Amino acid sequence: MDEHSERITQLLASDDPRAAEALLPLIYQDLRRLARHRLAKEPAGQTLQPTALVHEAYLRIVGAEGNPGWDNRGHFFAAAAEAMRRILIDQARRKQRQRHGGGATRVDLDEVEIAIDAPSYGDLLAVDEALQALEAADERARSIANLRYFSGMSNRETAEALGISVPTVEREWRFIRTFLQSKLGYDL
Amino acid sequence: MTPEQLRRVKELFLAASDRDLEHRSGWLDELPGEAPEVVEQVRLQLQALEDAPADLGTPEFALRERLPERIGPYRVEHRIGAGGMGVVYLCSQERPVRRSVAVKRIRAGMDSDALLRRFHFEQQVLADLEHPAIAQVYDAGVDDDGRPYFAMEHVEGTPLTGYCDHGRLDTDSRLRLFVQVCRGVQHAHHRGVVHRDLKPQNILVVEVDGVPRPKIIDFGIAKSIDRERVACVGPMTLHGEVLGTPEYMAPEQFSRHAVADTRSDQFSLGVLLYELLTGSLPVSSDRSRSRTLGTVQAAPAEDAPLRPSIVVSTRDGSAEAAERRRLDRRALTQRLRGDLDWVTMRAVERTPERRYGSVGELADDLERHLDHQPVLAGPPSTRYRVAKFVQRNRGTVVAGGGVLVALLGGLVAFAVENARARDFAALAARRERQAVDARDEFARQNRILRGRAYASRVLELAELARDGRLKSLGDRGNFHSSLDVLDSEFRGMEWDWLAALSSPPPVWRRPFDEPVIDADLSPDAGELLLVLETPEGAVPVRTGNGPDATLRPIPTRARFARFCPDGEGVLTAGHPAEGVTYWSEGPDGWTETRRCETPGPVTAMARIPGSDRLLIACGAEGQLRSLDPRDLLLVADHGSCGATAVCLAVDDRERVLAGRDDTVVQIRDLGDPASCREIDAREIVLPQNFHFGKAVECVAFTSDSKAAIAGLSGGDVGVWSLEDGRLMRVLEPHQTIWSTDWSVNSLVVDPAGRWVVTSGRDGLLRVQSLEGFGTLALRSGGKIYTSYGGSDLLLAADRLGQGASSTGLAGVLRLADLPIPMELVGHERGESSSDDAIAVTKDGKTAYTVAQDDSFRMWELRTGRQLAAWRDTALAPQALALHPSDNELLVVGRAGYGYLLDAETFDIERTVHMPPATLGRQAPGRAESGPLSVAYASDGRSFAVGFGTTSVLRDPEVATPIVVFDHATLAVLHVLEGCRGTVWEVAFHPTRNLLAAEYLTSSRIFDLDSDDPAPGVEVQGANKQACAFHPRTGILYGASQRELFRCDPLDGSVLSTVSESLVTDVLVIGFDTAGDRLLAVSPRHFSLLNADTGDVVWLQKAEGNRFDSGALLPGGGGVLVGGWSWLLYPMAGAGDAFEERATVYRAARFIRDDLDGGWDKAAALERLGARVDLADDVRDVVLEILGGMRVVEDPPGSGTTNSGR
Repeated sequence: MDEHSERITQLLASDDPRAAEALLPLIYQDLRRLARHRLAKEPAGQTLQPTALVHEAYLRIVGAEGNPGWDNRGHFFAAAAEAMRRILIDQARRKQRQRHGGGATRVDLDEVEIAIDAPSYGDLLAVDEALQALEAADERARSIANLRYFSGMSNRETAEALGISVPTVEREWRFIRTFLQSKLGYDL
Repeated sequence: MTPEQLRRVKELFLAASDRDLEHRSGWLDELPGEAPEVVEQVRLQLQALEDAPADLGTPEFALRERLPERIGPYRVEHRIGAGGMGVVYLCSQERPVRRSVAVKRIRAGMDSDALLRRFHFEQQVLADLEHPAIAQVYDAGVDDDGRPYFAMEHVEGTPLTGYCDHGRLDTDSRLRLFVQVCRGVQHAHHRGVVHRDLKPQNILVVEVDGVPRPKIIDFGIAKSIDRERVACVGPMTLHGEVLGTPEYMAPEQFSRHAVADTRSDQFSLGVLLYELLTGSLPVSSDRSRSRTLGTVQAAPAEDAPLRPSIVVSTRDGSAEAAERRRLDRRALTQRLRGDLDWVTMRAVERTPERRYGSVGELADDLERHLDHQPVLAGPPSTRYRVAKFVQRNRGTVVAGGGVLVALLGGLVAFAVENARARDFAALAARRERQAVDARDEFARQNRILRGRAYASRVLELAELARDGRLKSLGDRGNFHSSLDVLDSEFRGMEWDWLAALSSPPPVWRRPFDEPVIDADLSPDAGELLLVLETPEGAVPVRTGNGPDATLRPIPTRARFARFCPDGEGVLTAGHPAEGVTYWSEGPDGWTETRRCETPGPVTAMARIPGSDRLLIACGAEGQLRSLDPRDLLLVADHGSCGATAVCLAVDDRERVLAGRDDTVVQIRDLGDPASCREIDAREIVLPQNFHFGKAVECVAFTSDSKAAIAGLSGGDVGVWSLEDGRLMRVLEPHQTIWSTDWSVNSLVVDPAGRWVVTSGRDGLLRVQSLEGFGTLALRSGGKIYTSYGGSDLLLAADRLGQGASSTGLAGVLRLADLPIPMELVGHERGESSSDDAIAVTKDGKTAYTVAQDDSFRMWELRTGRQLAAWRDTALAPQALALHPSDNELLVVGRAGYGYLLDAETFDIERTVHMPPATLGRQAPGRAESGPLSVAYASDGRSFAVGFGTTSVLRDPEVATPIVVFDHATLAVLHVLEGCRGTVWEVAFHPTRNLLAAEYLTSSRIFDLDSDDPAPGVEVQGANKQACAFHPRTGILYGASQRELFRCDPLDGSVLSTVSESLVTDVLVIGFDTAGDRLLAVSPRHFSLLNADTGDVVWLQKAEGNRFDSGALLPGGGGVLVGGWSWLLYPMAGAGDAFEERATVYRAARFIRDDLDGGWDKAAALERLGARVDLADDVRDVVLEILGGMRVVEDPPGSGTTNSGR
């Protein structure tokens, strides 16, 4: 295991409430690295599925057999989902920007293309904005939305990741979904 | 709304949503003192819940699609279903006919022009499929959001298995339905379309006038959407899950190197047949669902399906299954035993080669069975054939039998009359004769069929060889396997030829009776050391560099042998010997001069280049020690590296890499024993391979010592940065789908640092680019164990065969002789933007490219170095053209303008604006893709810009513009609107002022000197996909899906066909300056043709890359292709071999098509004589093949001159 994974493992095992904060950039980096690695391995034209990336990040850090040192899946998945959200939002912003401007320059873009089945990038940004309003009122709703929406996890996976029951996730998601629907004007 | 209010909303909403629908709103109204906006929000959300009450508890991706109003020209009625690739809607079509159609809209993610274009090609192929058993694909297109869709015949039917079971169809009826399905699949296969996802849900039965008719839906869709991906990485997701329906998928479809072909469809049909007959699947769902890359290949024997009759007689629930077939269990068992067992089992063979040659053959065999003819799948025992004969001639035989019974009765009851006795004898004799006739007839037919199968297969293999595909076939390790299973009865010279083709091109090579398990090349490359694995143990042998040099065995047993840097001695070590021994060679043989003891045998050794230090690992603890190789004194002890399996690599900074058996590579600084960093190579191993793939088998530093390369026991190879431990690259693994005997045996880096050579137990030697895509794989025929690179020589040693019968091979090849392409590294996302994505100067020194990363670049072709690059996301450059003077470069982009650059400095000098009229035509909602193709007139006075469009299906009336500019003033000379659809290519006539344009579905020629050049002359011949004027004659060459034509440049009529069959799916064609050679680029390969004769002189497969565009270097120095990566293929060495292959190919085709499988030598010679059109060289090869062919007189398999093993 490299230093990077080591550090993630340590943070996941720690009780320090700031651990989650420190975890995020590491996992963010990890997901991007994984995505790049996948792109390097598989020829261009590939798209990457968020769920697969998050799961793979987990497998890579924890190992297929599970790491005896810790079992705090929740931290990991919450952080990974947030990281995935940022990656997707960055990507959507970048796409939007590209459409409107630029100019001939020599740029080195560090692009990672992740597939999202969103109607459009604009919608993705709108969803994120609506979720920010929700986050102020309800942090757990945010975590659930990240996992369900941005990481593409099922209710069961979300429940496992957050250590809550499936019916709870279902109820919360019902609220989040209808909330988004009322804000965006269509069903997700 | 404040956070508090929002929390209240949530509370109320959840409380309300738990109530019954009818009580909700009342309850909400009765709540006292709530803020109105809170109540309103709750009401809104409750409304939303009512609209879509379904909870998204399914693990599908969270975002759902809105129900679209329209998709393309179709009005959406409702959603029918959703599958892995997209959602299916029932839609209504109004024009040109009113009807219901099923529209399948594909998920997002296909937005590149190149992909869309291929999608259109595919659609045309699908539209060609017309068969009663195939649901017609009417149309395909791209909707407003850029998502592709297919419009198909809407079939309201019942899945095949359900239909049969529900209607309690008997076995014969089921077979007849099934045969109809096969015929449909066969029809598609003949047109080159593979279904890839055949399963009951995709075969619907519709009753037409009470007669059931099967309809196959979704034909070719899986392939057209997914083929790029699948062809490259197989149907595996990141998790090793399988896309598709595992129960019905052929084993080869699970492979990383999936080669789904017609035989995979046949397998799926076999599974379906199995299910129709027995009611159960050959492999249980659980098991097939759990199939993944590793497990499928390692599938144990018990995974082999049971014969249908056995399943029915043993499995629970078979009684009901039998009942649904209007039989009892015993009768069903009887019904299936024999023919149907054999046919089914042959169709579901794990190895594609052992299945039927085609779906047609499967259907034929079933029809034979239905007609009581012998089936080919069965074992041809006399009893079986006679039984069939009796069934077929039931009337006659029963009559005979009746007489017989009467006679027997007569014998017992009465005295036998002589006359009657004679009758009896005559009858018996007749029966016997008939039986013999039947047997002979069967043997004859069977032989013809087997001969045909052999010829077909040989031809396929010859075709592959001719296509230059042997490299990639070698990748999959199956070329030899394919040859091995060919009927030995028919093998002849052509078989030997193919066997020879699949071997590497050595400088020399030499076979040994024993396997070679280690090898080393002396510093001056004049001598080599080999270790031979004899029955008495491993014997080191020294010999000269050449195939005939004398072997000088060293009198010891040791696993390793290395030259001492003093140039005199030889060092041996390793099991069973302990320690390291220094041997000197004198006139009387070998003397043991020195010896150094070690704790346990040496497990690995490595030398620091240019340094007097030998590093060894020894003992159970993997102790690392440095020795002086001359006197074998201990220089330093570096401690234990903690593992038993070690391999070492040493760089010039005296750092060592040590691989362990747990995927860890250690980096140690020899000067500082405390320093030890670790790289975990785990990330390149698929989780399911981890248990056997984790030992590090070999390691190497890259030549700049900045990265480490490690090969693992699972065949995976990766490159890691030594600075931050980051995984830099994953190289092609040494894994085959044919065995699980994977491992990387050795790896060496070429001194220039561009290539790494790996060898593996899969028998391949791979030369892989450390930076990009260029990969060459050479097949050794065996299992390469060791290779060593000194200067550009490569020593390769093999173990051939298995166990006691294995032998060895060692040889030296020269890296420079291998046809390795050079990669131009620079474009981040390498795909070229359009057909006009490459321009090369006339001196062949400089190239310009444009790719989808919005950049355009300049390259020095001699070195592959990037000279300059621009990126412009605003312009989104798509195409470029070089002024004939080579002084200026024109680049145009999607944004609707372009630049003229100084071709030498790459400075932007002028901006080219498209006339507002053309841009103004881009009505709102029309997704124009802007200028997409450019060309300069040969006098350089003008240039043409063709536009792309994606709106052809929605807006059929509007033609796409081509604008012709004056080069000097940039004034617009013409705006041509000849045709609708994207203008993929424009080309100027070399002498006249004619402009050819290739649109999506047709090609036109415009006479720019005429008063009204538009709309131009339509070029004849179906569906042009590429066009170019011959630089000398001015004749227009056009490529359609399957053919290359010559056309008259004035009236567009077809003059002649250049080449048939082999050159398919062409995207771009181009000529060299003299017009002798024609380059045709297709996504999967490019071919170089003789422009006069149409003979393919070189066919290069994309080898995991994909080609989008290409150019022939003017001096004939090579071919530059753009795609996922940009590669310059050197031309040298390609010519002769391919000419030779082409000859043999033609001969093989003559034998298959013209000799009609008769395998009668005399008749064949006669027919050969009648064919005056055959070239002499082809005739010679045919004669040679016929001469070498084992014809009927020869005993089977005798005198085979080359077994290849």
